[in-house]
Amino acid sequence: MLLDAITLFILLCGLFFFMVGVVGLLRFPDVYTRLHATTKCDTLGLGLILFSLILFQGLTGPSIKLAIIIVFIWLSNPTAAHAIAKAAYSVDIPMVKSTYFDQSKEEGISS
Amino acid sequence: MSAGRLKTYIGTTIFLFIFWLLITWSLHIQQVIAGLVSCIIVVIFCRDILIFKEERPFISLRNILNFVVYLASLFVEIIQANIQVAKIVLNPKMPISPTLIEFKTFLKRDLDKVILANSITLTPGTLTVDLEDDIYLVHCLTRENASVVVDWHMAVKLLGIEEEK
Repeated sequence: MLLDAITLFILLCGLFFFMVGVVGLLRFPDVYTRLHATTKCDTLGLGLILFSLILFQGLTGPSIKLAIIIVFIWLSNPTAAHAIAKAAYSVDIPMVKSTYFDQSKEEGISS
Repeated sequence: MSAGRLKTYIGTTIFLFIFWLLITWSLHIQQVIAGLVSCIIVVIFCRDILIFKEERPFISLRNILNFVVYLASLFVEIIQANIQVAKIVLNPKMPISPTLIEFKTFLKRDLDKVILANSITLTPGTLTVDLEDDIYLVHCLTRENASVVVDWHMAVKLLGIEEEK
């Protein structure tokens, strides 16, 4: 009973982050900021939804497969975001006007 | 074939075999033999593109522990930043100040650079656009994100793993 409640709560959190991703996709002004909204909120949204399914399943074969799916989504999601961003940048898709370009090439610590 | 390469081949086979066992989730003799044979075939097929000793971090108990700590703190970062982005999206005024920032990294190994780039992208609010040699081009959703990402504490943790010998 308690486990069901926790599962439902986590599932709703996941749905909330998906909703945030969609709202961000509609509200943000250009390609790059939209990428922020969609790809990022999806990582946690999908992670939480699959995690709630794992809790629902208990420790069985399918739940291990779900965990592996989470790992692969979290590996491939940034790669896809990076590919889209780089493609957009290399064909000069315009950024929103207020974008600030910091080209000072600041050095990281202990470089 | 040197001993180091042989170790990589055997290690990769074992790793793939564990993965096979996890996804088949049965110890039937037929499954096990089919899995072993296909793992060995995959390793022979990919023998030139495996991650060899020169390219990977030193594998030790301490380093694995460090990496687990790294993943755990990355997870905490992701949750925090996700909530932050959710707040920005749902705020009626939408307080974004997109920033493109270039900075130089001090990581040496390619694998670590890729891990850092993916960590930056996974953390909402920052997005790696380009990585050439050791210069990252990062798109940030707000100005504050940009000032944080230049010397991110996660990069320091990664440096610790890289320098472990």
